[in-house]
Amino acid sequence: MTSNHKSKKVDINRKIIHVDMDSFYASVEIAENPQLAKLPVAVAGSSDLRGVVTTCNYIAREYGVKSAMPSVVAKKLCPEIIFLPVNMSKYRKVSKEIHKIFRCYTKIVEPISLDEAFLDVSKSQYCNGDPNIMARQIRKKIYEDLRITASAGIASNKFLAKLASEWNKPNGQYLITNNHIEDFVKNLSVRKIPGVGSKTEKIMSDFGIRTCQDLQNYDLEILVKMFGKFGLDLFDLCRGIDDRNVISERSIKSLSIEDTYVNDLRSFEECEIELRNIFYKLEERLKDKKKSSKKIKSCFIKVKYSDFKSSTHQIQSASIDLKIYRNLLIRAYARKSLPIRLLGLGVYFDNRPQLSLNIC
Amino acid sequence: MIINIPTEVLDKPMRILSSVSDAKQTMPILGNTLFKLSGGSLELIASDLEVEVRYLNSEVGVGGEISSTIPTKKFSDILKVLGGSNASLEFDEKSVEIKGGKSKFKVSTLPVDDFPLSEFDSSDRFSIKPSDLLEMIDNTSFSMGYQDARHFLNGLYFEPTDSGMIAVATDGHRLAYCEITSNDGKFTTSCIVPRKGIVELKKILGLFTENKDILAEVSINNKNLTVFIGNYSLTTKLIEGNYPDYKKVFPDSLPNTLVLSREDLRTALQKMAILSSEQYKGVKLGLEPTSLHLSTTNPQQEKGEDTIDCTYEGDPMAVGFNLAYIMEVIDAIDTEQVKFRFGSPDSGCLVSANSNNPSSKYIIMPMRV
Repeated sequence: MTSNHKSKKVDINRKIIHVDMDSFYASVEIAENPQLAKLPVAVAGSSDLRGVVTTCNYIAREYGVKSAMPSVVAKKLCPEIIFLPVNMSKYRKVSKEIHKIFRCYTKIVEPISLDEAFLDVSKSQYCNGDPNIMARQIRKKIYEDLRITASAGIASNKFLAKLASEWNKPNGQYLITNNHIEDFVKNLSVRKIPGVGSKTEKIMSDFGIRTCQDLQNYDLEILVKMFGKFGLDLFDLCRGIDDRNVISERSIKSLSIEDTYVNDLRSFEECEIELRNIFYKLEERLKDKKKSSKKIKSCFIKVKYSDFKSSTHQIQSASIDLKIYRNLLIRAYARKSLPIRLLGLGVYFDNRPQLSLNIC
Repeated sequence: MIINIPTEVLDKPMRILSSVSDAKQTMPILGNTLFKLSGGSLELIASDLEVEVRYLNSEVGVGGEISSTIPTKKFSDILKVLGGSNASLEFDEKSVEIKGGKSKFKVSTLPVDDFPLSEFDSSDRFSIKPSDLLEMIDNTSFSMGYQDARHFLNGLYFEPTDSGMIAVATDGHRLAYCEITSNDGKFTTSCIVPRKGIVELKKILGLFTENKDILAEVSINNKNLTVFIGNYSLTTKLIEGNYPDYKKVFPDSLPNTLVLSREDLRTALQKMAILSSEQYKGVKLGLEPTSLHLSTTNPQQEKGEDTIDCTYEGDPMAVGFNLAYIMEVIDAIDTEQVKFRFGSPDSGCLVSANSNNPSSKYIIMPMRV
């Protein structure tokens, strides 16, 4: 199968840096207590063995300790491991400092989490506009100021920059030039594509698709038939094409939480139970300081059916309410009589500086 | 059963009906139009359970008895492209074959019994000039809410007054108000007509603006509003709930007054629209005694500026607005000059025609730009 389709035109001259802190929580703790530097350290949900490892340093990783591993298991693998409790306010403070460094280079910074961000430095004049040198300087500055290390990936889009930051981790960086994209994605596992989880990977592997190159052999129509709208993204991403913009925090447009289910949801009751679970998670996330100051414009629900086609329903509302989401679920559920493989709830924020009438 | 009927007899009403139908997974029949031919009368009905539009032509001059339902969108699209001046429709139990010129289409039908018809009641009726009703809709409907959880905003509010009636629409950021005097008749009670009912009604009224003699008959009860005009009738459910107190939105004191040419302002706003942010469409108005300075920026830090002549009495100030809101308002005003009255940069501004007693008034809330 060959493709007759041309991918969309994207700006290949963009300069995107993805900065990813190395074992962030553990690094912050070690920076504060340098004597821990040569010991296996894990930051865990609770300091006794009932918790789960949130982050561990690279020494602990050598013993096979990983994030999300129960502390009991980590202790078995590495008896001398030191557990430290999570101290979010400390990590937030350090993260703020890191962001100050980012903003010296560009105003377009998209935070992904406390320890990860995309920077669009396309228009930055620093370092003669060389993003590779900028990334090196940023990492150096972070280390000098905060004594923690970061890895960086540099490319012309977000997808590739993120992959590149993993390439020389920890404390390294990697540049994917445009000439190099084809080679880079060729042998890349499809699992590295954002949105491809275990279920999608399984479907692909049933068709013998394991790498991006395998995926490149499929026509756009076939990908859309197989994966719905996601097929459009797959068609581009497997070629290393990604036109998503780096969105700075001030313009965060939405917040959503979604879950993909190993076993499709087959009844409305099942969906309703999951709807509640996600709703409470969303409610928690919205309590976060920065988000809670934002005005909600509308609520939306996203469902992906077992045929991989998804549908989104939204209603304008200034606050979230379980009832609103339940009504949206009724609409989404009635749309197709197919099992549901993904359910997501979210809100769009009203970033408009538009003032409202005092009527309702 | 075969009937032959001039294509244009079907084409025109089907263009109106095509946007009424809305097939739902649970009720596919709502995607169809009821087609009824009986005793030389043709009746076409489309409905989405909220809005129902009927077309009745008793002088169609075609014999036969037919009762079926045809997919609205397909039927309408076929009639648009059908060759020849006559359409031949051959119905069997489950389908209809539509022929015209050398084209031939076979479309599935659904049983008539499943089609949900609204019930007419015998509530009081009043007559109104279609142009009056259309004027109220045209001058206000662009400010209706859209998919707002405050459901009563997703429609147009009508209210009787001593000498006529008013229409009000607001989406919470702006408000449009239009008052007309009417000697023919007026709304007997206040009501909120949903957005879709207004959109469809506007299309039907648009067919009769040339005909000065025709009147629309309106009947309202607490659930539905029906408008009869010519061969058409539209029944729409009403939105339940209380409409917000729009009167308190009109500020008491607006000491700063700007008067300028509507056309100059439109041209300047069109220029600003080129570079304003696609999402917010913000424009900043810098108010000076004899000139209005417009400026806009977008997230890419691009800029646009323009200056036009005006008469401004008040404190010099700068105030931001969504330029689309201003544009829609000045499009609804038909005088050469428009008047803006401002309080502070944070309060709503009142826009109207520059005349003594304008029938339409608009409040637009500012935007921080």
